[in-house]
Amino acid sequence: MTPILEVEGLRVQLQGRRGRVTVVDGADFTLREGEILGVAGESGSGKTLSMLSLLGLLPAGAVVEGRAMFGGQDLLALQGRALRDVRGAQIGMVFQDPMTSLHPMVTIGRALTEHLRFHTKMKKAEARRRAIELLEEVRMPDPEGCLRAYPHQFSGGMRQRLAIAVALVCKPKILIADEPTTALDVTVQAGIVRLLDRLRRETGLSVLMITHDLGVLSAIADRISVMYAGRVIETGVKRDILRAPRHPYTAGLLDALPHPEAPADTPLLTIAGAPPSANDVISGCKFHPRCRFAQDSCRTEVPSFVTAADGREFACPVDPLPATRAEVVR
Amino acid sequence: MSTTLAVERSLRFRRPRVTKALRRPLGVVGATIVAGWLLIAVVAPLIAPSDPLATGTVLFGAPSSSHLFGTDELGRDVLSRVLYGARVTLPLSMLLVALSLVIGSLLGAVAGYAGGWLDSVIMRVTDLVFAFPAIVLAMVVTAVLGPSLRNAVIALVIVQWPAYARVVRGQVLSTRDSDYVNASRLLGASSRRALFTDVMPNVFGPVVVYAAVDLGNAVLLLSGLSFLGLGAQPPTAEWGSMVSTGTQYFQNWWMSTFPGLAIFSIVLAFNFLGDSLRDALDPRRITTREPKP
Amino acid sequence: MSELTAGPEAPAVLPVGRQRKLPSRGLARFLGRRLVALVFLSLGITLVAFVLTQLVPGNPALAQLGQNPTPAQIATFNEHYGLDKPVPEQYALYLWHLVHGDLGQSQQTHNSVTHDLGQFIPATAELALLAIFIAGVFGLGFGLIAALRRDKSTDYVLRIFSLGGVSVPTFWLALISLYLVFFKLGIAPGGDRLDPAVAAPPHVTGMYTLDALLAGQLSTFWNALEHLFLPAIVLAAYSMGLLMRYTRSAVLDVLDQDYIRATRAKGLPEHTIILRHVLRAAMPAIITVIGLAFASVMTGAVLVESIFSWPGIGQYGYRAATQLDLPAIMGVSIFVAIVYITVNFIVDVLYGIIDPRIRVT
Repeated sequence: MTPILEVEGLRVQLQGRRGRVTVVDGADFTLREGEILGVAGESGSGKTLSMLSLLGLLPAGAVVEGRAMFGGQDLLALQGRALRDVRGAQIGMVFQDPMTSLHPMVTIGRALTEHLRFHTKMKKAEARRRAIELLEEVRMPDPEGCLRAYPHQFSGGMRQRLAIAVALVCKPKILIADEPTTALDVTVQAGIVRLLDRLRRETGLSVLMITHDLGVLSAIADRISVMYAGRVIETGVKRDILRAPRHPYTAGLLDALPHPEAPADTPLLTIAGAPPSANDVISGCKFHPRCRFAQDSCRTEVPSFVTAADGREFACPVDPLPATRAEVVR
Repeated sequence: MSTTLAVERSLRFRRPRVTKALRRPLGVVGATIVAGWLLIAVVAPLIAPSDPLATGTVLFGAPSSSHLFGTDELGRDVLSRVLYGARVTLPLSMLLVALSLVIGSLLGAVAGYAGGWLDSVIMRVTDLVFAFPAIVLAMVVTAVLGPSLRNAVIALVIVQWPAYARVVRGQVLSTRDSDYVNASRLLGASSRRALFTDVMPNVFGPVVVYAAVDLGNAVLLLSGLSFLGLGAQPPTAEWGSMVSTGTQYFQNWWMSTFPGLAIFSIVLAFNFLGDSLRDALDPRRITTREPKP
Repeated sequence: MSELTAGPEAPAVLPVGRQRKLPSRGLARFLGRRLVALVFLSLGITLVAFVLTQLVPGNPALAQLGQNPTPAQIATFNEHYGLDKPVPEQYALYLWHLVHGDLGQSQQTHNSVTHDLGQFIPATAELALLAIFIAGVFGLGFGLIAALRRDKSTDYVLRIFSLGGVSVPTFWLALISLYLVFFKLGIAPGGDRLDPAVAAPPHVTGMYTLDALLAGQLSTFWNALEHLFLPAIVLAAYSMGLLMRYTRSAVLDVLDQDYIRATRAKGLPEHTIILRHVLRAAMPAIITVIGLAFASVMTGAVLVESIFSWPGIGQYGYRAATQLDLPAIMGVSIFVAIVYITVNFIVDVLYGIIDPRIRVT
């Protein structure tokens, strides 16, 4: 599959109270056409900010370095008109909290058609038809009634569907979904996940999905990139990542998942310590203070993100990783 | 036990950081000016060049070395009258705000806690008072009671208390059943303790901010009423009535300019203070946003 | 494909149209409720005004009828106002008169209060409307600019300016501006609604600018406008400062919201986002203060009219208050209060129109 978005060396610095803070420190990932790339990591790992930087949605005073090649252009270098042409039309975005990401005083119909008409110069009737089409795509009941309604009249799950419809109405090539299921009930989550999967299969949409929920990732991601402390530390095909992680952090994350069929007295495994905040200064590998397998070199050298002989990409010198409990149970 | 306290403390609203307010530049300027006027009010008898009521021979004297602010229509020294004016305006405005705050907060708290018909009655009364713009109501009340500073204060308290009632009631309603109060109760704090340690600090934040700004309003209203002749009566040296007299002889600009400036400066100072207080106490309003992960 | 992705997507629900009320019906019900509240409030106001007059000492008949009224005159007077009847009946009689437009007779002018009101209201209305327009346009505009240029020098300048606006005593500002612009610079006229030599236009609304335009008397129009200008600006000062501050604060709150970021992600141009989305979301908070702004204009009118010799309701009411002209006091109070609560009613209505979430409450 051909890559549709290639991000290299993404670095994001924000203006904090006490000066500049590096929140994304060298992230590389590639999204291939028609695939779902899951970006996993805990809060504070820089996943959301990486995505926001692609569309220029970072807060004022942010400094971005690196390249994000999409359709022959570097997204990170775009400004003004060029940037606006990409937003919504080429790349759509769905945000985390459906309760606050739809404008409360704008009807759904308007929300769907305003940028559609702006980007494509469609006439009102045609835009309306397209809006209804989208609403049917996301399986909203009574699409015509929806057009006149306001967001507060819908539940969280339905609002998320609406948000997805709004993001896709201009037929963008990429959908960036920032934790689309996190704020929803588990049963509703399943619906959203299925929706995204179907959209991908039917329309060839490429999806960049941020989530910390490994369960969701295992369900629909094709490939997974794992972020920690502002860096991508491992990327691979889902099966490989979940079965045989190559980075201790990934392994730790998987170990922490309680297995439903394990004996009842199996102790819960955790990764000792807490993820560093953007202000913390850690020499060498950012994960080394919490790493079971840390070597001396880990304290001083930042491991580079390499592609191993078998095609796996990760940033850890410890190779191969000793088998962990999770693998044994699996 | 210590864990309980630790959890309780983290759930509780953080005490209003008044000192932080005073550190912001605008707050500093405001506080300084207010302090300055308070000082003047106290030591006026010591620093005023003459007796504010003492008439003189030089009528309508322009500002000069002997009379820095000039003299008025009865030859009185304007500077002294302005200084002494602080002794009228400041204490009365503060009294006015204090009374409105106490009466309003009490009624508002009662309305918020009791609910039911008591709440409705109190709210209808506040609606009625709100229906009349301040000066109109104050005019009518002073007309009924007779024009004097005391009656002006009474009239203005009647006008101002509903605002406090509304603020307090709103805060009581929103915090009474809020999560952290319930959590505190779950942890074993009695109802009364919950009231004092959890609800009150949250209620008083907005009230204090409102009161600080209201001080400015009180000064404007009080001097406005005096300007209309419904407050301070001659020969009392009060800023509003001085401007009013100055209006009749407005070619002698010093008669109204200096008292007006005095009013302007103190109201401005109160507003600066009120603004900084609000900025410091409002947990949402931070100038640099912390990055979200 | 894992089990997660196989299966039904959306839970079965009723079509949206059947689940909720149509927006138009919710709005009508909301307006209805507000209208009822308005009526009750108006009644309450008349009660308050009535009670206030009962509190004033003195014999109203003597006060009204002048020096030496004959017993017959007194009797007629008492009968008309039911002064010999119990208080509740007096109130009922008073309401009855009110509904028929009889507000009594002013002691100072010896005209019916209704006539006086009709004469003085247009002058104040002209002034107030222009003041509100100025305050609205500049208050909102500057507030928006200040919010968009947050923490830059423009913001600081505008904030100081608005703080000044709400801190300056209106009567003093009126005096200073009159002194400077009229007395010293000779630019603006010295008060009153028209130059002494200019005759008032034929009466249609009582507002000289409007009437002059309607009659085609352009020079009169310009003259009236000249006279209107300075007092209107002075009157607008406080409200403009207020609106500027509230607008800035409301817009800043909105700019931080998720949905604005989401709207930006749709690729719309910045001016559309600011004007259509940000401003609209900030409107409820701004509208809250319109009632306040209006009240301050009415309050300020009393002071401004006094200094600019403007023959409006403010002056009339003030003279009535100082001379204890009861019918006039009541008439002015009721009028002012009714206007005020009507404005608040309109504000409530606007709330319901702009923010659909309100209609549910």
